[in-house]
Amino acid sequence: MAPRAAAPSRAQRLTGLAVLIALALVALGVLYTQGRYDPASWGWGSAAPGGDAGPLAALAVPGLEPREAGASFDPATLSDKIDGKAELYLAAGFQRLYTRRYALKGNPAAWLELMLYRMKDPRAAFSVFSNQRRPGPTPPGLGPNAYATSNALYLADGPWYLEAVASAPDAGLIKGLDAAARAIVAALPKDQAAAVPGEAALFPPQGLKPGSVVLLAKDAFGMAGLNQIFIASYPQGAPERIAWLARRAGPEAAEQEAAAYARFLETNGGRMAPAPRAIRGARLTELLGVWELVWPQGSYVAGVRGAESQEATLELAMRLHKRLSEVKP
Amino acid sequence: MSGQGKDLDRREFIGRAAKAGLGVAAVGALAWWGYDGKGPDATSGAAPSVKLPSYAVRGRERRLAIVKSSHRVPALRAGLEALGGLGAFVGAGQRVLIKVNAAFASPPALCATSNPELVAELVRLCKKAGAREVIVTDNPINDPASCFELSGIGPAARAAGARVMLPHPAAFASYSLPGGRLIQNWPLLWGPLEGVDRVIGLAPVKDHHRSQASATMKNWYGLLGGRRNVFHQDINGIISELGRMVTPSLVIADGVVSLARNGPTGGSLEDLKPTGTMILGTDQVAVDSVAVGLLGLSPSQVAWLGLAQKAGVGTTDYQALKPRLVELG
Repeated sequence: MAPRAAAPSRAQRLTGLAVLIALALVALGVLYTQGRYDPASWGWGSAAPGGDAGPLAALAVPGLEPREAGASFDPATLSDKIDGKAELYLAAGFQRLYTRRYALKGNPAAWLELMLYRMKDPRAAFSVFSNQRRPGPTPPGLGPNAYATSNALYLADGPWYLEAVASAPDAGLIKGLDAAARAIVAALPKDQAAAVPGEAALFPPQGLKPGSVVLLAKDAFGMAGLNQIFIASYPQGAPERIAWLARRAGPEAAEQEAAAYARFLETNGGRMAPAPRAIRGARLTELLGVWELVWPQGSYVAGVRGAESQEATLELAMRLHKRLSEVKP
Repeated sequence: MSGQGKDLDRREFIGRAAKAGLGVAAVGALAWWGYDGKGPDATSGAAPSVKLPSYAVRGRERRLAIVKSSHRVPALRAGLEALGGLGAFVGAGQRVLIKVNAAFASPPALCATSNPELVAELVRLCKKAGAREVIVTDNPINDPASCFELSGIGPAARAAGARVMLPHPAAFASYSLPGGRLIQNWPLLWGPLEGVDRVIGLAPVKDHHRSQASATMKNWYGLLGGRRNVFHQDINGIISELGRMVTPSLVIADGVVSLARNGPTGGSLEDLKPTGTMILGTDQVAVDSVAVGLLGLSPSQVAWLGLAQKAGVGTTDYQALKPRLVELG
């Protein structure tokens, strides 16, 4: 018979006890944390915004000092920053938002916030820029898609969209907004053109409300699937007329979309009326006392809406038709 | 087999194997005891679940006052006077919760959050009416501490004598709206509500990209926790359910200056519109029906108002309440 193993020493017993106590503490910690489960903090993929300020991390603006390190938001967390307005950006093609606050040197109560959106392409940036446009002059040297208001500065540059907002219309802060915008524009990679999308130049210039061209990314006029529509306002008359157009894959796709839109109007109570022969394939509809004309033209689908008379509708439609006939689809 | 160079005999081997087996069985039994086959609900809050009582003041139902003024504090005083004085709603020794809109870390000038001067005045009036404690709370979209500080609400409320309660995980409890379709097993900001006698909602009137308008009913959104942005897919349904969730003592919609476009965040002072109106009442559907009018909408154009009325929350026919009209100029 072999001799029995020696009993553990006092040091071994204490070590074992310490390990058991540590395991018990871990178990208690797990139980405690589990009992306070917070669905906002746990789950697959963190929903918390990141601390990466991206292109703003190294941004230095004369007269301003950073109030914070900055943050970034992805499509899953964008609404944590801008709540219900996130849908506007997501529909247009949002990729990432970088934010950072700065204050006037020596005056932390006077601050501004920079919100730099990376969109999927320049059209997406133009879409969010144009959809929110306020009245305001274009600051020189910041490109065609820029304007300043009494406390803010907005611009689209390539796939980037910048919102620079001051806490008050303070002269020092306004100067800071301008300097920050110029520094950002100078630092952003120029890998994609910053120009206004080509369709915007197709609207008839006479009577066009300045700065009114807007790119509706999704479900324009309430019709599901009517996407990437450019609209422009012509304020003469009440209500003001809207001209619209979109480029499609080819004439067949444009024809299909024109027909679908006319059906959509009819489904929603529109009354079809004889269309003018001057515009081939046109469909005329009256809905609640307002006239709508839609037609395909080459690879474009175009329309006029909002006028209270057929004559006013046709007048603008003919001008848009003429403009489109001058471009090669 | 050897142990420290000594062979085991059969008896010792069986004994050790039995101990090991018992250890494994004990761990297995413990795991079985602690196993939750259902797992945490991705949308559930911390236990325990709670029920929200009605905070309506008996005999004060269907009250509505509309004050025309370009100054908030006088408008608040006049509106409360028209409703019979705040003393009709707040009694001596009561604990009062003021649910503000502190959703964003934006400056008060942008009107995206409750006005701090208005918050402070309401706190003072509650104290004057005899309230033992006044709590000011919200679960903001952005970082809570930044929201309360940068919006000015936190400092103003504290200076007026309120207790500002910021959300933290332990303050949430699971809540299910009886008969609710969306609000089921959802984290509710229960901590500030626990034990209060009166609940007053104080919200700015705002344009909202998803819901067209935001006023007192949408303001209860800030009592929800978790990944509540999923509700944006059914924004009208959730606002209607929020109206059913909270039966307040009083609600106040501040439309002295409204965020008339690019809501709910706004950003530019050009997004604001002086609408010179404050609406106070106990029927939140009626109050919001007046509020949406400040944004150029009729109640019939706002889907969530119709849903709330259908659910019995209140009436969009606010004239039926014979509102008290006060003109301050």
